[in-house]
Amino acid sequence: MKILTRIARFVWNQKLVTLSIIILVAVVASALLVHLIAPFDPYAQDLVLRNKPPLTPAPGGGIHLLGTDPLGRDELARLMLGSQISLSVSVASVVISGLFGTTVGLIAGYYRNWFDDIMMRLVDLQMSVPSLLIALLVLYVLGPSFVNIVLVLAVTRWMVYARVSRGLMLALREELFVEAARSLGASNFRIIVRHLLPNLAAPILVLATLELAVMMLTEASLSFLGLGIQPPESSWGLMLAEGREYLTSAPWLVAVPGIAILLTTLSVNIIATWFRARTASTSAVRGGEEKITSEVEI
Amino acid sequence: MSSVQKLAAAGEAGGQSLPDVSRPLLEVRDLTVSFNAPHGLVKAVNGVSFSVSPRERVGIVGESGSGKSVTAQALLGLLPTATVTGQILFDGRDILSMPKSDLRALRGWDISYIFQDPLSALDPVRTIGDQISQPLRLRGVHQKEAKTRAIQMLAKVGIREPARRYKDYPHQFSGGMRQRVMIAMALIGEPRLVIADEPTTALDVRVQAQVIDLLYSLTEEQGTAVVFITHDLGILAGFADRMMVMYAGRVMEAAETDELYYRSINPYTLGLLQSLPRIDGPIPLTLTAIGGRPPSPSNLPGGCSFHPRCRYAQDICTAERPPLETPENGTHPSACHFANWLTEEPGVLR
Repeated sequence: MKILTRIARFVWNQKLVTLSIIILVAVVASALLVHLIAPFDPYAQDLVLRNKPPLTPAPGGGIHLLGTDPLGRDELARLMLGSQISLSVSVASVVISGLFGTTVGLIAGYYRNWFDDIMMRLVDLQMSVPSLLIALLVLYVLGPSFVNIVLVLAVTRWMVYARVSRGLMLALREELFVEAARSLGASNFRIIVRHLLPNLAAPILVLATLELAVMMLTEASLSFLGLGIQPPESSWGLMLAEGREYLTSAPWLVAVPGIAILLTTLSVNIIATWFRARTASTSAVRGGEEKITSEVEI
Repeated sequence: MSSVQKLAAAGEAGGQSLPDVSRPLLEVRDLTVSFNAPHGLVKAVNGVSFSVSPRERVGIVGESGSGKSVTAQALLGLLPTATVTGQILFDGRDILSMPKSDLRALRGWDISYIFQDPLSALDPVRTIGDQISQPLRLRGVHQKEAKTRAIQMLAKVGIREPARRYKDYPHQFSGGMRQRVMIAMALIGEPRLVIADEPTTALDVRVQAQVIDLLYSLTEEQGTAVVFITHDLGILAGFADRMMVMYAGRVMEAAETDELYYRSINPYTLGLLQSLPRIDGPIPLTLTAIGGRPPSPSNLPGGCSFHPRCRYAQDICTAERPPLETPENGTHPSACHFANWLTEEPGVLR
């Protein structure tokens, strides 16, 4: 009972966050269960039913809720299939870039030695080149595939984590509790892993949620430009690209994946903002939030 | 007579030798600490020597910038950016030249440190219990046993419901309680020496007294030697066996506590004492302050460092630095050209 009242209070107080959570859960569920809950087979073509608008009834019974694409496939089923790739690409690339970037930032910020100098100059260098350009170049050479896309996305965004975690480390390493741990005989490794990392966890997690949206959009851009996911696989960005030719005759082909991208990234951002506000009070890092937002702008 | 001599004499008188008391637990020889700053070399500590016997409580008193905290941090090798010379012998081994891993093994186990500000010396995202048991866990004590001992330690420092508070976070504790937690953390490894760096400065007066009493009784019980650093002469009266007054990175006077309070032979110490209100006399309307400011450690005056502020300074004080010596008929060392005279005529400056 108690839990129910708490949930009810949360829903009432945080309507927007609740809505965002519902949207995200729906997206994740449709990605995981696409073959179970999709109204039609996402690969089944019906050339008679090309580019039908939303709410067209299907001859075999049922309704094409979001219309059909140029090959007569159900747009909703395609959208659910596309969410699989869009989500897994963005989550995987966030995890990889987050792990790598945070590790670099931790070490650089803690020791402040040659490693710091080299890595931060590398970050500056990479920041000065448009990341989409690097991604396009690498994918052009290596060829687009799921693994390559994930790696390229991770390589283009690791420096955001490196910069943020290094900046936070510079403040944290001067904290008295670090010296206190040292005075108790803790080694550098232990201080970094047991004391500093937990203090960084909240701001890095917030950054990762924001980055999830960035990754999703970048993947969409890459697919849109033709160097991302290749047909017959589908992602939201690819759907957007394929629908572009029919923009005047069948606008829902662009609108549907576009709105899906918009709603998902918006939900992620709203949840990230809420999470940030919640964790700000228990963090040892002051000014960490502003740091994150200013880094993301870059 | 220092307590080392006292103990040794007692041992001889009893016809048996007490183990290891003749050797000081900690011996600092000619310690200097300097920092490279953009505006030049900052000389924080300039040739400090002292020793601490087992179970002895030594107070180090000085103004801000006198080098007392830097001395304390040097004792544990906690100054990675500073240039430290001299010798710091703990149990006969030099802390300054020992390998890093040996030093880590020493910290928190043989020597531990209590920080000035308990509010920021505890990690905000880890539980109190986790942090108190850390010194034990670092030495491979099993988690269960470490927890039991940590809860016992929490009870000893006067935290109520220790088993429940074990899981709490620092922000759920008040300032005084956090300092108790810091003391628990410092003493759980039963170290032989505790360095307390102004442990009561951040606390209000009533809590100060409680914390000092606690530190006294626990170190007495465990037989721990204490180096207590403070700017407050009054705090040490009932606590320290011996005291050392520091100024501009040098020792001005070192004596047993009563000796220092009643028979000081150094104008600086006397100045500090006169700036304290006395409980046994009429309440003064104004307290006597020492004029001027302590010198900048990057630009120390020649001669006696205290001469610009000393009311009794003579020509010799600007020209020559007085050594820390015991005057002919004196009982303890003082770094003043007129220590002899002050010994002959006690109370002349009061």
